[in-house]
Amino acid sequence: MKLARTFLYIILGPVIVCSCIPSGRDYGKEMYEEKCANCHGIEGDGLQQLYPPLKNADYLEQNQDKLACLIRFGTQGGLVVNGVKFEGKMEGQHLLSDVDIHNIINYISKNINPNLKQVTITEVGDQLIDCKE
Amino acid sequence: MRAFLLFLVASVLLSSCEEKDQSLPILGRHDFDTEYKNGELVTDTIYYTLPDFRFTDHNGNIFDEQLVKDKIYVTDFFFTSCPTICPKMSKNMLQMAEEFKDNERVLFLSHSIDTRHDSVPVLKKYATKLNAPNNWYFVTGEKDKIFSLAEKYMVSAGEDPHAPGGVIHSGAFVLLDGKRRIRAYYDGTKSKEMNKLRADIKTLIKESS
Repeated sequence: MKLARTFLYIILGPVIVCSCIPSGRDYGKEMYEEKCANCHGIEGDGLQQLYPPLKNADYLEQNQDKLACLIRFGTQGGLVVNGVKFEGKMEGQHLLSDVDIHNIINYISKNINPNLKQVTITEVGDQLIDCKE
Repeated sequence: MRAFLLFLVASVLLSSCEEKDQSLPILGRHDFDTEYKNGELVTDTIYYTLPDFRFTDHNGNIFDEQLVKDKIYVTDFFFTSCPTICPKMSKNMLQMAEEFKDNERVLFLSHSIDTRHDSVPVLKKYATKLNAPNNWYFVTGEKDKIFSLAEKYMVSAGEDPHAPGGVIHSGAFVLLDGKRRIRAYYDGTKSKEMNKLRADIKTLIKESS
């Protein structure tokens, strides 16, 4: 009986310890790759004059307070990014939650366009309330 | 003795690095034609080939099977407003078209499956904005004919009101030889697959020269 108990501790111990270690999942990366990378590219390079880049994109830097709205509601096109006009329409990602959008923006600012500021969930929430669709 | 062994091992290692000259299979269901010739039974294989077609390209010109005669070509089905896999396919196709733009025996052909929206001017604009080289043709035509040709290429394409963009299609690139025979398929959404495609195009160039 005592042996069984010791055995149980040996099994349970590592399981409990392991469950406290962060899973290492990057939800922003997962969301970015699922929802954004098809057009904007894994590295954010865009594609010629069809899809605008995110990397080094002046438009993102100048419109940091509108990124959450841009992701949720998309755009009808006509954006000028680094001097190039992009006419294509971007579909809004209506199914993404505020947290998803927050994760995506922070993923982009951390990995693709370091000139963007990191945002908090509150800031994203405030932006989304004020969106003009 | 030792030197000899080293030499042996080295040559084996070196030869294993050599590029293997692999031939590509001819895909599809083939027919067989058996007849007596001079008293002997002779069987000819009639390979599966793509039927004739007639569409309009992004410059407003007729694009039919005559234009792919004796050409090695890579083809896919897409539409310009496709929000899902098409951008990746276009990116990969662009890379391949760029690499073979100086070889007049290689062509690239993209069929629009959203024929209502993708008119000639829309395709022209798409090609221009993509900086597509001249060896890449974007074609449109009667919807049913495009869908039925997709079937002949053995890739899926069809309308689906539930799919993003209203049409559903495979992301496959199909490689054909100068006799309109299907030689291989690739996942057009994966940039790694392009290494295989590049090597196979070169194999076909060698095969037909």
